[in-house]
Amino acid sequence: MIRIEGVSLDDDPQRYKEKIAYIPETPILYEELTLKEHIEMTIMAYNLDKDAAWKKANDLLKVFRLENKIDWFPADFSKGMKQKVMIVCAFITNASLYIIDEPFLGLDPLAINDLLNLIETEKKRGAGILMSTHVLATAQEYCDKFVLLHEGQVKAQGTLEQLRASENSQVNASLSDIYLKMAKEG
Amino acid sequence: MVDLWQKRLKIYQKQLLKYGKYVFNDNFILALFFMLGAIAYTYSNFLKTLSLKEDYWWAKPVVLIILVLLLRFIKVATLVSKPDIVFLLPKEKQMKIYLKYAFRRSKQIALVIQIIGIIILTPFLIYGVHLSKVMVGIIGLTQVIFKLTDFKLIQNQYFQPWNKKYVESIRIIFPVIVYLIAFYINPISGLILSGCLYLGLNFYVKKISDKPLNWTYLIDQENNRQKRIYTFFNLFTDVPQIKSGAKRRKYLDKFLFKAKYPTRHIYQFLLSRAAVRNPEYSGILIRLTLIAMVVISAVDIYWLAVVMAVLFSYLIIFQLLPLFNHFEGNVYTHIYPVKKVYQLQDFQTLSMIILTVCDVLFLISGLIGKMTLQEIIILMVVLGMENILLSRVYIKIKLKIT
Repeated sequence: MIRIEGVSLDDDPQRYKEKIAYIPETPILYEELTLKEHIEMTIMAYNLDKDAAWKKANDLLKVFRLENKIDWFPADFSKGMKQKVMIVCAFITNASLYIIDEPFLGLDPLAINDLLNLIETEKKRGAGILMSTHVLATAQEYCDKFVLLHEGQVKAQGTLEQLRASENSQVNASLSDIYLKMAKEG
Repeated sequence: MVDLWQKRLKIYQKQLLKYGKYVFNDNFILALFFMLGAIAYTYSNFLKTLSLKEDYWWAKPVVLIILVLLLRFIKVATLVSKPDIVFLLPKEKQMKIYLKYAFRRSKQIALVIQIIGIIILTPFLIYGVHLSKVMVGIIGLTQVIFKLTDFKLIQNQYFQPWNKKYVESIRIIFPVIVYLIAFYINPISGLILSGCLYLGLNFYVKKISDKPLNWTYLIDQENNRQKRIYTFFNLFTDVPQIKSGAKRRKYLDKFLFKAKYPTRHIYQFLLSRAAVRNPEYSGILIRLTLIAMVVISAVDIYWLAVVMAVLFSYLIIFQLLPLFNHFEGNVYTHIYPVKKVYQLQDFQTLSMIILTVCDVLFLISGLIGKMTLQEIIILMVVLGMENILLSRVYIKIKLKIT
Protein backbone atom coordinates (compact mmCIF):
# COMPACT_ATOMS: atom_id res chain seq x y z
CA MET A 1 0.00 0.00 0.00
CA ILE A 2 1.52 3.26 -1.13
CA ARG A 3 0.83 6.30 1.03
CA ILE A 4 1.62 9.86 0.21
CA GLU A 5 1.62 11.97 3.37
CA GLY A 6 -0.51 9.32 4.98
CA VAL A 7 -3.15 9.14 2.28
CA SER A 8 -3.56 6.07 0.09
CA LEU A 9 -5.36 5.75 -3.21
CA ASP A 10 -8.05 3.61 -1.59
CA ASP A 11 -8.64 6.01 1.30
CA ASP A 12 -9.26 9.19 -0.68
CA PRO A 13 -8.47 9.07 -4.41
CA GLN A 14 -9.03 12.76 -4.89
CA ARG A 15 -6.68 13.90 -2.12
CA TYR A 16 -4.18 11.27 -3.18
CA LYS A 17 -4.15 12.46 -6.77
CA GLU A 18 -3.90 16.10 -5.70
CA LYS A 19 -0.53 15.31 -4.19
CA ILE A 20 0.99 13.93 -7.38
CA ALA A 21 2.30 15.72 -10.45
CA TYR A 22 3.38 13.58 -13.40
CA ILE A 23 5.65 14.40 -16.32
CA PRO A 24 5.61 11.60 -18.89
CA GLU A 25 8.54 10.75 -21.11
CA THR A 26 6.56 11.46 -24.26
CA PRO A 27 4.57 14.68 -23.92
CA ILE A 28 0.84 14.05 -23.60
CA LEU A 29 -1.11 17.07 -24.69
CA TYR A 30 -4.65 18.02 -25.55
CA GLU A 31 -4.77 18.53 -29.29
CA GLU A 32 -7.66 20.93 -28.99
CA LEU A 33 -6.32 23.22 -26.26
CA THR A 34 -3.98 26.19 -26.44
CA LEU A 35 -0.99 26.51 -24.11
CA LYS A 36 -2.96 28.96 -21.95
CA GLU A 37 -5.83 26.50 -21.72
CA HIS A 38 -3.52 23.67 -20.69
CA ILE A 39 -2.41 25.79 -17.73
CA GLU A 40 -6.03 26.69 -16.94
CA MET A 41 -6.90 22.97 -17.01
CA THR A 42 -4.11 22.20 -14.54
CA ILE A 43 -5.19 24.99 -12.21
CA MET A 44 -8.81 23.83 -12.27
CA ALA A 45 -7.95 20.16 -11.90
CA TYR A 46 -5.62 20.62 -8.93
CA ASN A 47 -7.80 23.30 -7.35
CA LEU A 48 -4.89 25.73 -7.20
CA ASP A 49 -5.07 29.38 -6.20
CA LYS A 50 -5.55 31.15 -9.52
CA ASP A 51 -3.31 34.16 -8.92
CA ALA A 52 -0.43 32.28 -7.32
CA ALA A 53 -0.53 29.58 -9.98
CA TRP A 54 -0.60 32.04 -12.88
CA LYS A 55 2.25 34.01 -11.34
CA LYS A 56 4.35 30.86 -11.17
CA ALA A 57 3.20 29.82 -14.64
CA ASN A 58 4.22 33.14 -16.15
CA ASP A 59 7.63 32.94 -14.49
CA LEU A 60 8.16 29.43 -15.83
CA LEU A 61 6.92 30.34 -19.30
CA LYS A 62 9.48 33.13 -19.37
CA VAL A 63 12.26 30.78 -18.23
CA PHE A 64 11.40 28.29 -20.96
CA ARG A 65 10.80 31.00 -23.56
CA LEU A 66 7.21 30.03 -24.20
CA GLU A 67 5.47 33.23 -23.10
CA ASN A 68 4.71 34.47 -26.60
CA LYS A 69 3.20 31.15 -27.67
CA ILE A 70 0.49 31.12 -25.11
CA ASP A 71 -2.33 31.18 -27.64
CA TRP A 72 -0.95 28.40 -29.84
CA PHE A 73 -1.65 24.68 -29.88
CA PRO A 74 1.16 22.83 -28.06
CA ALA A 75 0.26 19.88 -30.25
CA ASP A 76 2.02 21.80 -33.05
CA PHE A 77 5.21 22.49 -31.06
CA SER A 78 8.57 20.76 -31.43
CA LYS A 79 9.35 17.88 -29.07
CA GLY A 80 11.50 19.99 -26.77
CA MET A 81 8.86 22.71 -26.52
CA LYS A 82 6.15 20.15 -25.80
CA GLN A 83 8.21 18.77 -22.96
CA LYS A 84 8.65 22.25 -21.56
CA VAL A 85 4.86 22.65 -21.58
CA MET A 86 4.58 19.46 -19.52
CA ILE A 87 7.20 20.79 -17.09
CA VAL A 88 5.41 24.11 -16.67
CA CYS A 89 2.06 22.41 -16.05
CA ALA A 90 3.60 20.05 -13.50
CA PHE A 91 5.58 22.59 -11.52
CA ILE A 92 2.72 25.01 -10.87
CA THR A 93 0.89 22.32 -8.88
CA ASN A 94 3.03 22.53 -5.71
CA ALA A 95 2.62 18.78 -5.50
CA SER A 96 4.07 16.67 -2.73
CA LEU A 97 5.43 14.10 -5.14
CA TYR A 98 6.72 14.72 -8.66
CA ILE A 99 6.96 11.67 -10.87
CA ILE A 100 9.23 12.50 -13.77
CA ASP A 101 9.91 9.96 -16.52
CA GLU A 102 13.16 10.43 -18.49
CA PRO A 103 13.19 14.22 -18.18
CA PHE A 104 16.46 14.88 -20.00
CA LEU A 105 15.66 13.40 -23.39
CA GLY A 106 14.87 16.05 -25.96
CA LEU A 107 15.75 19.05 -23.80
CA ASP A 108 18.53 21.44 -24.72
CA PRO A 109 21.26 22.05 -22.08
CA LEU A 110 19.71 25.34 -20.97
CA ALA A 111 16.36 23.70 -20.36
CA ILE A 112 17.98 20.78 -18.54
CA ASN A 113 19.69 23.27 -16.26
CA ASP A 114 16.41 25.11 -15.67
CA LEU A 115 14.61 21.87 -14.91
CA LEU A 116 17.27 20.80 -12.41
CA ASN A 117 16.98 24.19 -10.70
CA LEU A 118 13.22 23.72 -10.47
CA ILE A 119 13.72 20.29 -8.94
CA GLU A 120 16.18 21.73 -6.41
CA THR A 121 13.66 24.40 -5.41
CA GLU A 122 10.92 21.83 -4.93
CA LYS A 123 13.26 19.62 -2.94
CA LYS A 124 13.98 22.50 -0.57
CA ARG A 125 10.23 23.09 -0.26
CA GLY A 126 9.92 19.54 0.99
CA ALA A 127 8.50 17.81 -2.06
CA GLY A 128 9.69 14.41 -3.16
CA ILE A 129 10.83 13.66 -6.67
CA LEU A 130 10.70 10.21 -8.20
CA MET A 131 12.73 10.37 -11.40
CA SER A 132 13.55 7.64 -13.88
CA THR A 133 16.54 8.21 -16.13
CA HIS A 134 19.35 6.56 -18.02
CA VAL A 135 21.60 9.61 -17.66
CA LEU A 136 23.50 8.25 -14.65
CA ALA A 137 26.03 11.08 -14.45
CA THR A 138 23.35 13.71 -13.90
CA ALA A 139 21.41 11.42 -11.57
CA GLN A 140 24.48 10.93 -9.41
CA GLU A 141 25.02 14.65 -9.16
CA TYR A 142 21.49 15.66 -8.19
CA CYS A 143 19.72 12.71 -6.59
CA ASP A 144 19.86 11.63 -2.98
CA LYS A 145 18.76 8.01 -3.26
CA PHE A 146 18.72 5.50 -6.07
CA VAL A 147 16.81 2.40 -7.05
CA LEU A 148 18.69 0.35 -9.62
CA LEU A 149 16.57 -1.78 -11.93
CA HIS A 150 17.85 -4.48 -14.24
CA GLU A 151 15.70 -6.75 -16.39
CA GLY A 152 12.61 -5.51 -14.62
CA GLN A 153 13.85 -6.32 -11.13
CA VAL A 154 15.02 -4.05 -8.32
CA LYS A 155 18.65 -5.04 -7.88
CA ALA A 156 19.86 -2.44 -5.40
CA GLN A 157 18.74 0.69 -3.67
CA GLY A 158 20.04 3.31 -1.31
CA THR A 159 22.32 6.32 -1.23
CA LEU A 160 25.50 6.35 -3.25
CA GLU A 161 27.54 5.28 -0.21
CA GLN A 162 25.13 2.46 0.57
CA LEU A 163 25.26 1.28 -3.04
CA ARG A 164 29.05 1.33 -3.04
CA ALA A 165 29.02 -0.80 0.07
CA SER A 166 26.33 -3.27 -0.95
CA GLU A 167 27.71 -3.77 -4.42
CA ASN A 168 31.28 -4.14 -3.18
CA SER A 169 32.44 -1.35 -5.41
CA GLN A 170 35.48 0.85 -5.04
CA VAL A 171 35.39 3.86 -2.72
CA ASN A 172 35.11 6.34 -5.53
CA ALA A 173 32.95 4.27 -7.84
CA SER A 174 30.53 6.35 -9.87
CA LEU A 175 26.89 5.42 -10.25
CA SER A 176 27.65 4.36 -13.79
CA ASP A 177 30.44 2.02 -12.62
CA ILE A 178 28.18 0.50 -9.95
CA TYR A 179 25.36 -0.04 -12.40
CA LEU A 180 27.52 -1.59 -15.11
CA LYS A 181 29.18 -3.92 -12.61
CA MET A 182 25.78 -4.93 -11.25
CA ALA A 183 24.34 -5.47 -14.70
CA LYS A 184 27.26 -7.56 -15.87
CA GLU A 185 27.09 -9.78 -12.81
CA GLY A 186 23.41 -10.32 -13.48
CA MET B 1 15.41 -1.28 -58.42
CA VAL B 2 13.01 -2.48 -61.04
CA ASP B 3 11.74 -5.04 -58.53
CA LEU B 4 11.32 -2.33 -55.92
CA TRP B 5 9.26 -0.23 -58.30
CA GLN B 6 7.07 -3.11 -59.34
CA LYS B 7 6.53 -4.19 -55.74
CA ARG B 8 5.53 -0.68 -54.70
CA LEU B 9 3.33 -0.26 -57.73
CA LYS B 10 1.45 -3.44 -56.89
CA ILE B 11 0.86 -2.33 -53.31
CA TYR B 12 -0.23 1.10 -54.49
CA GLN B 13 -2.66 -0.27 -57.04
CA LYS B 14 -4.11 -2.64 -54.47
CA GLN B 15 -4.75 0.28 -52.16
CA LEU B 16 -6.36 2.36 -54.90
CA LEU B 17 -8.62 -0.59 -55.65
CA LYS B 18 -9.51 -1.00 -51.99
CA TYR B 19 -10.60 2.61 -51.58
CA GLY B 20 -11.96 2.77 -55.08
CA LYS B 21 -14.54 0.21 -54.01
CA TYR B 22 -15.95 2.72 -51.52
CA VAL B 23 -15.93 5.56 -54.00
CA PHE B 24 -17.48 3.64 -56.86
CA ASN B 25 -20.33 2.16 -54.93
CA ASP B 26 -23.61 1.49 -56.71
CA ASN B 27 -25.19 4.80 -55.75
CA PHE B 28 -22.27 6.83 -56.85
CA ILE B 29 -21.91 5.03 -60.18
CA LEU B 30 -25.59 5.60 -60.89
CA ALA B 31 -25.32 9.27 -60.02
CA LEU B 32 -22.16 9.51 -62.12
CA PHE B 33 -23.83 7.99 -65.14
CA PHE B 34 -26.72 10.40 -64.88
CA MET B 35 -24.36 13.34 -64.45
CA LEU B 36 -22.17 12.34 -67.39
CA GLY B 37 -25.22 11.73 -69.51
CA ALA B 38 -26.60 15.15 -68.68
CA ILE B 39 -23.27 16.82 -69.42
CA ALA B 40 -22.90 14.97 -72.74
CA TYR B 41 -26.44 15.88 -73.72
CA THR B 42 -25.91 19.55 -72.86
CA TYR B 43 -22.61 19.58 -74.72
CA SER B 44 -24.04 18.05 -77.87
CA ASN B 45 -26.95 20.49 -77.82
CA PHE B 46 -24.52 23.33 -77.40
CA LEU B 47 -22.45 22.08 -80.33
CA LYS B 48 -25.54 22.00 -82.50
CA THR B 49 -25.99 25.74 -81.96
CA LEU B 50 -22.60 26.45 -83.47
CA SER B 51 -22.17 27.04 -87.16
CA LEU B 52 -19.14 27.25 -89.34
CA LYS B 53 -20.35 30.53 -90.75
CA GLU B 54 -20.37 32.57 -87.52
CA ASP B 55 -17.33 33.89 -85.79
CA TYR B 56 -17.14 33.31 -82.05
CA TRP B 57 -14.62 35.66 -80.46
CA TRP B 58 -14.84 33.87 -77.15
CA ALA B 59 -14.11 30.40 -78.56
CA LYS B 60 -10.32 30.74 -78.71
CA PRO B 61 -9.80 32.10 -75.16
CA VAL B 62 -12.11 29.41 -73.77
CA VAL B 63 -10.25 26.63 -75.54
CA LEU B 64 -6.95 28.09 -74.43
CA ILE B 65 -8.01 28.08 -70.81
CA ILE B 66 -9.36 24.53 -71.05
CA LEU B 67 -6.20 23.22 -72.67
CA VAL B 68 -3.91 24.91 -70.13
CA LEU B 69 -6.04 23.53 -67.27
CA LEU B 70 -5.99 20.09 -68.86
CA LEU B 71 -2.21 20.21 -68.73
CA ARG B 72 -2.35 20.14 -64.92
CA PHE B 73 -3.36 16.44 -65.02
CA ILE B 74 -1.54 14.50 -63.78
CA LYS B 75 1.58 14.61 -61.64
CA VAL B 76 4.16 11.87 -61.36
CA ALA B 77 3.53 9.05 -58.94
CA THR B 78 6.99 8.23 -57.59
CA LEU B 79 5.76 6.12 -54.66
CA VAL B 80 8.66 7.17 -52.44
CA SER B 81 8.17 7.56 -48.72
CA LYS B 82 9.92 9.22 -45.77
CA PRO B 83 12.21 6.31 -44.80
CA ASP B 84 13.64 6.22 -48.32
CA ILE B 85 15.95 9.12 -47.57
CA VAL B 86 17.69 6.89 -45.04
CA PHE B 87 17.42 3.46 -46.62
CA LEU B 88 17.71 4.24 -50.32
CA LEU B 89 20.37 6.93 -50.08
CA PRO B 90 23.19 4.50 -50.93
CA LYS B 91 21.25 3.43 -54.01
CA GLU B 92 20.98 6.95 -55.35
CA LYS B 93 22.51 6.12 -58.70
CA GLN B 94 20.03 3.32 -59.23
CA MET B 95 17.14 5.61 -58.32
CA LYS B 96 17.41 6.98 -61.85
CA ILE B 97 16.19 3.64 -63.15
CA TYR B 98 13.44 3.56 -60.56
CA LEU B 99 12.32 7.04 -61.54
CA LYS B 100 12.46 6.15 -65.20
CA TYR B 101 9.81 3.48 -64.61
CA ALA B 102 7.77 5.85 -62.44
CA PHE B 103 7.85 8.57 -65.07
CA ARG B 104 7.01 6.13 -67.83
CA ARG B 105 3.89 4.93 -66.06
CA SER B 106 2.69 8.42 -65.20
CA LYS B 107 3.44 9.62 -68.71
CA GLN B 108 1.29 6.89 -70.20
CA ILE B 109 -1.66 7.77 -67.99
CA ALA B 110 -1.20 11.51 -68.46
CA LEU B 111 -1.00 11.28 -72.25
CA VAL B 112 -4.13 9.16 -72.39
CA ILE B 113 -5.93 11.82 -70.37
CA GLN B 114 -4.67 14.59 -72.63
CA ILE B 115 -5.73 12.72 -75.75
CA ILE B 116 -9.19 11.99 -74.36
CA GLY B 117 -9.49 15.69 -73.52
CA ILE B 118 -8.53 16.65 -77.05
CA ILE B 119 -10.99 14.19 -78.53
CA ILE B 120 -13.79 15.66 -76.44
CA LEU B 121 -12.75 19.15 -77.46
CA THR B 122 -12.42 18.29 -81.16
CA PRO B 123 -16.00 19.10 -82.23
CA PHE B 124 -15.74 22.44 -80.46
CA LEU B 125 -12.38 23.07 -82.07
CA ILE B 126 -13.90 22.43 -85.47
CA TYR B 127 -17.22 24.21 -85.09
CA GLY B 128 -16.31 26.86 -82.54
CA VAL B 129 -12.74 27.74 -83.28
CA HIS B 130 -13.05 26.79 -86.95
CA LEU B 131 -9.93 24.67 -87.20
CA SER B 132 -9.55 22.11 -89.92
CA LYS B 133 -9.14 18.47 -88.91
CA VAL B 134 -5.43 18.67 -89.67
CA MET B 135 -5.02 21.72 -87.48
CA VAL B 136 -6.90 19.98 -84.68
CA GLY B 137 -4.33 17.22 -84.94
CA ILE B 138 -1.56 19.81 -84.75
CA ILE B 139 -3.08 21.34 -81.61
CA GLY B 140 -3.39 17.85 -80.13
CA LEU B 141 0.27 17.22 -80.85
CA THR B 142 1.18 20.53 -79.25
CA GLN B 143 -0.75 19.57 -76.12
CA VAL B 144 1.04 16.23 -75.92
CA ILE B 145 4.42 17.90 -76.34
CA PHE B 146 3.53 20.35 -73.56
CA LYS B 147 2.63 17.53 -71.23
CA LEU B 148 5.99 15.92 -71.96
CA THR B 149 7.64 19.28 -71.28
CA ASP B 150 5.76 19.40 -68.01
CA PHE B 151 7.24 16.06 -67.06
CA LYS B 152 10.71 17.27 -67.97
CA LEU B 153 10.20 20.24 -65.66
CA ILE B 154 9.21 17.87 -62.86
CA GLN B 155 12.27 15.77 -63.58
CA ASN B 156 14.41 18.88 -63.36
CA GLN B 157 12.93 19.75 -59.99
CA TYR B 158 13.93 16.37 -58.64
CA PHE B 159 17.60 17.07 -59.28
CA GLN B 160 18.53 20.69 -59.25
CA PRO B 161 15.35 22.54 -58.58
CA TRP B 162 14.64 26.01 -59.79
CA ASN B 163 12.68 28.45 -57.71
CA LYS B 164 9.22 26.99 -57.18
CA LYS B 165 7.34 30.15 -58.20
CA TYR B 166 9.48 30.39 -61.31
CA VAL B 167 8.58 26.84 -62.30
CA GLU B 168 4.87 27.29 -61.61
CA SER B 169 4.75 30.36 -63.82
CA ILE B 170 6.60 28.55 -66.60
CA ARG B 171 4.03 25.75 -66.41
CA ILE B 172 1.30 28.28 -67.09
CA ILE B 173 2.88 31.11 -69.06
CA PHE B 174 4.62 29.00 -71.70
CA PRO B 175 1.50 27.10 -72.81
CA VAL B 176 -0.53 30.32 -72.72
CA ILE B 177 1.94 32.14 -74.97
CA VAL B 178 2.34 29.23 -77.35
CA TYR B 179 -1.39 28.66 -77.62
CA LEU B 180 -1.98 32.37 -78.20
CA ILE B 181 0.41 32.10 -81.09
CA ALA B 182 -1.17 28.83 -82.22
CA PHE B 183 -4.71 30.15 -82.21
CA TYR B 184 -4.24 33.69 -83.34
CA ILE B 185 -1.39 33.28 -85.76
CA ASN B 186 -0.79 29.73 -86.85
CA PRO B 187 -1.08 26.33 -85.15
CA ILE B 188 2.04 25.10 -86.91
CA SER B 189 4.19 27.87 -85.41
CA GLY B 190 2.75 26.92 -82.04
CA LEU B 191 3.77 23.34 -82.61
CA ILE B 192 7.27 24.29 -83.66
CA LEU B 193 7.67 26.59 -80.66
CA SER B 194 6.49 23.93 -78.23
CA GLY B 195 8.81 21.41 -79.86
CA CYS B 196 11.78 23.78 -79.45
CA LEU B 197 10.90 24.34 -75.79
CA TYR B 198 10.74 20.62 -75.22
CA LEU B 199 14.03 19.90 -76.94
CA GLY B 200 15.75 22.73 -75.10
CA LEU B 201 14.52 21.53 -71.73
CA ASN B 202 15.35 17.93 -72.59
CA PHE B 203 18.91 18.90 -73.41
CA TYR B 204 19.26 20.86 -70.19
CA VAL B 205 17.85 18.10 -68.01
CA LYS B 206 20.20 15.55 -69.58
CA LYS B 207 23.12 17.73 -68.57
CA ILE B 208 22.10 17.95 -64.93
CA SER B 209 20.90 14.39 -64.42
CA ASP B 210 24.22 13.43 -62.85
CA LYS B 211 23.58 15.78 -59.98
CA PRO B 212 22.48 14.34 -56.62
CA LEU B 213 18.82 13.60 -56.15
CA ASN B 214 16.77 16.16 -54.24
CA TRP B 215 15.37 13.63 -51.78
CA THR B 216 13.41 15.95 -49.49
CA TYR B 217 11.64 17.58 -52.44
CA LEU B 218 10.92 14.21 -54.00
CA ILE B 219 9.45 12.84 -50.77
CA ASP B 220 7.45 16.01 -50.03
CA GLN B 221 5.91 16.02 -53.49
CA GLU B 222 4.88 12.39 -53.23
CA ASN B 223 3.48 12.89 -49.71
CA ASN B 224 1.38 15.84 -50.87
CA ARG B 225 0.17 13.93 -53.89
CA GLN B 226 -0.88 10.94 -51.81
CA LYS B 227 -2.46 13.23 -49.21
CA ARG B 228 -4.64 14.75 -51.94
CA ILE B 229 -5.75 11.33 -53.08
CA TYR B 230 -6.45 10.16 -49.52
CA THR B 231 -8.40 13.35 -48.81
CA PHE B 232 -10.61 12.53 -51.78
CA PHE B 233 -11.12 8.97 -50.54
CA ASN B 234 -11.81 10.33 -47.06
CA LEU B 235 -15.03 11.84 -48.42
CA PHE B 236 -16.34 8.33 -48.95
CA THR B 237 -14.85 6.32 -46.12
CA ASP B 238 -12.50 6.53 -43.14
CA VAL B 239 -8.94 6.68 -44.33
CA PRO B 240 -6.55 6.10 -41.41
CA GLN B 241 -3.81 8.17 -43.01
CA ILE B 242 -5.92 11.28 -42.78
CA LYS B 243 -5.83 12.57 -39.24
CA SER B 244 -7.36 16.01 -39.23
CA GLY B 245 -5.73 18.02 -36.50
CA ALA B 246 -7.59 20.46 -34.33
CA LYS B 247 -8.54 23.83 -35.81
CA ARG B 248 -7.99 26.94 -33.69
CA ARG B 249 -11.25 28.74 -34.45
CA LYS B 250 -10.34 31.69 -32.25
CA TYR B 251 -13.55 33.49 -33.18
CA LEU B 252 -15.59 30.91 -31.28
CA ASP B 253 -13.61 31.29 -28.05
CA LYS B 254 -16.17 33.63 -26.52
CA PHE B 255 -18.88 30.96 -26.78
CA LEU B 256 -16.93 28.31 -24.91
CA PHE B 257 -17.01 27.61 -21.19
CA LYS B 258 -14.51 29.88 -19.50
CA ALA B 259 -12.02 28.66 -16.92
CA LYS B 260 -13.56 28.96 -13.47
CA TYR B 261 -11.77 28.78 -10.15
CA PRO B 262 -12.52 26.92 -8.08
CA THR B 263 -14.40 24.29 -9.99
CA ARG B 264 -14.63 20.56 -10.41
CA HIS B 265 -16.32 20.98 -13.77
CA ILE B 266 -13.15 20.95 -15.82
CA TYR B 267 -14.71 18.68 -18.41
CA GLN B 268 -17.12 21.42 -19.45
CA PHE B 269 -14.04 23.45 -20.29
CA LEU B 270 -12.26 20.60 -22.03
CA LEU B 271 -15.08 18.87 -23.91
CA SER B 272 -16.60 22.09 -25.23
CA ARG B 273 -13.29 22.96 -26.80
CA ALA B 274 -12.88 19.48 -28.25
CA ALA B 275 -16.40 19.62 -29.72
CA VAL B 276 -15.77 22.95 -31.40
CA ARG B 277 -12.13 22.63 -32.48
CA ASN B 278 -11.95 18.98 -33.50
CA PRO B 279 -13.35 18.53 -37.01
CA GLU B 280 -14.32 14.99 -36.03
CA TYR B 281 -17.12 16.41 -33.90
CA SER B 282 -17.67 19.93 -35.20
CA GLY B 283 -17.89 18.58 -38.74
CA ILE B 284 -20.63 16.08 -38.07
CA LEU B 285 -22.53 18.50 -35.82
CA ILE B 286 -22.60 21.20 -38.46
CA ARG B 287 -23.50 18.81 -41.24
CA LEU B 288 -26.33 17.17 -39.32
CA THR B 289 -27.71 20.52 -38.20
CA LEU B 290 -27.60 22.00 -41.68
CA ILE B 291 -29.25 19.00 -43.30
CA ALA B 292 -31.90 19.00 -40.58
CA MET B 293 -32.56 22.69 -41.11
CA VAL B 294 -32.96 22.20 -44.84
CA VAL B 295 -35.27 19.23 -44.37
CA ILE B 296 -37.44 20.92 -41.74
CA SER B 297 -37.89 24.07 -43.76
CA ALA B 298 -38.54 22.18 -46.99
CA VAL B 299 -41.02 19.58 -45.79
CA ASP B 300 -44.61 20.80 -46.12
CA ILE B 301 -46.32 18.22 -43.96
CA TYR B 302 -46.18 19.42 -40.37
CA TRP B 303 -46.06 16.13 -38.51
CA LEU B 304 -43.34 14.89 -40.87
CA ALA B 305 -41.27 17.99 -40.10
CA VAL B 306 -41.69 17.36 -36.38
CA VAL B 307 -40.63 13.73 -36.79
CA MET B 308 -37.58 14.87 -38.75
CA ALA B 309 -36.66 17.39 -36.03
CA VAL B 310 -36.97 14.73 -33.34
CA LEU B 311 -34.97 12.25 -35.40
CA PHE B 312 -32.14 14.64 -36.16
CA SER B 313 -31.94 15.75 -32.52
CA TYR B 314 -31.48 12.12 -31.58
CA LEU B 315 -28.85 11.66 -34.28
CA ILE B 316 -26.93 14.69 -33.05
CA ILE B 317 -26.75 13.35 -29.51
CA PHE B 318 -25.90 9.90 -30.81
CA GLN B 319 -22.99 11.27 -32.82
CA LEU B 320 -21.87 13.33 -29.84
CA LEU B 321 -21.57 10.31 -27.50
CA PRO B 322 -17.98 9.35 -28.50
CA LEU B 323 -16.90 12.79 -27.27
CA PHE B 324 -17.30 11.57 -23.70
CA ASN B 325 -14.53 9.02 -24.14
CA HIS B 326 -12.46 11.16 -26.49
CA PHE B 327 -9.74 11.67 -23.88
CA GLU B 328 -9.87 8.20 -22.39
CA GLY B 329 -6.45 7.46 -23.89
CA ASN B 330 -4.95 10.57 -22.30
CA VAL B 331 -3.33 9.50 -19.03
CA TYR B 332 -4.21 12.77 -17.33
CA THR B 333 -7.90 11.88 -17.50
CA HIS B 334 -7.04 9.27 -14.90
CA ILE B 335 -4.44 11.22 -12.95
CA TYR B 336 -6.33 14.47 -12.43
CA PRO B 337 -7.96 14.64 -8.99
CA VAL B 338 -11.44 14.96 -10.50
CA LYS B 339 -14.18 12.44 -9.88
CA LYS B 340 -15.65 10.55 -12.81
CA VAL B 341 -19.15 11.68 -11.84
CA TYR B 342 -18.24 15.28 -12.65
CA GLN B 343 -17.13 14.17 -16.08
CA LEU B 344 -20.56 12.70 -16.77
CA GLN B 345 -22.36 15.77 -15.41
CA ASP B 346 -20.28 18.08 -17.55
CA PHE B 347 -20.92 16.02 -20.64
CA GLN B 348 -24.64 16.10 -19.99
CA THR B 349 -24.59 19.87 -19.53
CA LEU B 350 -22.62 20.30 -22.73
CA SER B 351 -24.97 18.03 -24.69
CA MET B 352 -27.98 19.93 -23.41
CA ILE B 353 -26.52 23.24 -24.48
CA ILE B 354 -25.52 21.98 -27.93
CA LEU B 355 -28.94 20.45 -28.43
CA THR B 356 -30.66 23.65 -27.30
CA VAL B 357 -28.73 25.62 -29.91
CA CYS B 358 -29.76 23.08 -32.54
CA ASP B 359 -33.37 23.20 -31.36
CA VAL B 360 -33.46 26.97 -31.74
CA LEU B 361 -32.08 26.60 -35.27
CA PHE B 362 -34.72 23.98 -36.00
CA LEU B 363 -37.45 26.34 -34.80
CA ILE B 364 -36.09 29.05 -37.08
CA SER B 365 -36.15 26.54 -39.94
CA GLY B 366 -39.77 25.87 -39.07
CA LEU B 367 -40.49 29.57 -39.38
CA ILE B 368 -38.78 29.62 -42.76
CA GLY B 369 -40.90 26.60 -43.68
CA LYS B 370 -43.96 28.70 -42.93
CA MET B 371 -45.20 26.97 -39.81
CA THR B 372 -47.86 28.77 -37.83
CA LEU B 373 -47.09 30.17 -34.38
CA GLN B 374 -49.11 27.40 -32.79
CA GLU B 375 -47.16 24.75 -34.70
CA ILE B 376 -43.86 26.35 -33.68
CA ILE B 377 -44.86 26.32 -30.03
CA ILE B 378 -45.82 22.66 -30.19
CA LEU B 379 -42.50 21.87 -31.90
CA MET B 380 -40.68 23.82 -29.21
CA VAL B 381 -42.34 21.84 -26.44
CA VAL B 382 -41.66 18.53 -28.18
CA LEU B 383 -38.01 19.36 -28.80
CA GLY B 384 -37.63 20.70 -25.26
CA MET B 385 -38.93 17.48 -23.75
CA GLU B 386 -36.76 15.41 -26.04
CA ASN B 387 -33.76 17.53 -25.07
CA ILE B 388 -34.26 16.79 -21.38
CA LEU B 389 -34.92 13.12 -22.05
CA LEU B 390 -31.84 12.70 -24.23
CA SER B 391 -29.36 14.65 -22.11
CA ARG B 392 -30.53 13.54 -18.68
CA VAL B 393 -31.68 9.97 -19.26
CA TYR B 394 -30.48 8.58 -22.58
CA ILE B 395 -26.87 9.71 -22.23
CA LYS B 396 -26.60 8.34 -18.72
CA ILE B 397 -27.92 4.95 -19.78
CA LYS B 398 -25.89 4.74 -22.98
CA LEU B 399 -22.60 5.72 -21.34
CA LYS B 400 -22.95 3.43 -18.37
CA ILE B 401 -23.20 0.55 -20.81
CA THR B 402 -20.24 1.51 -23.00
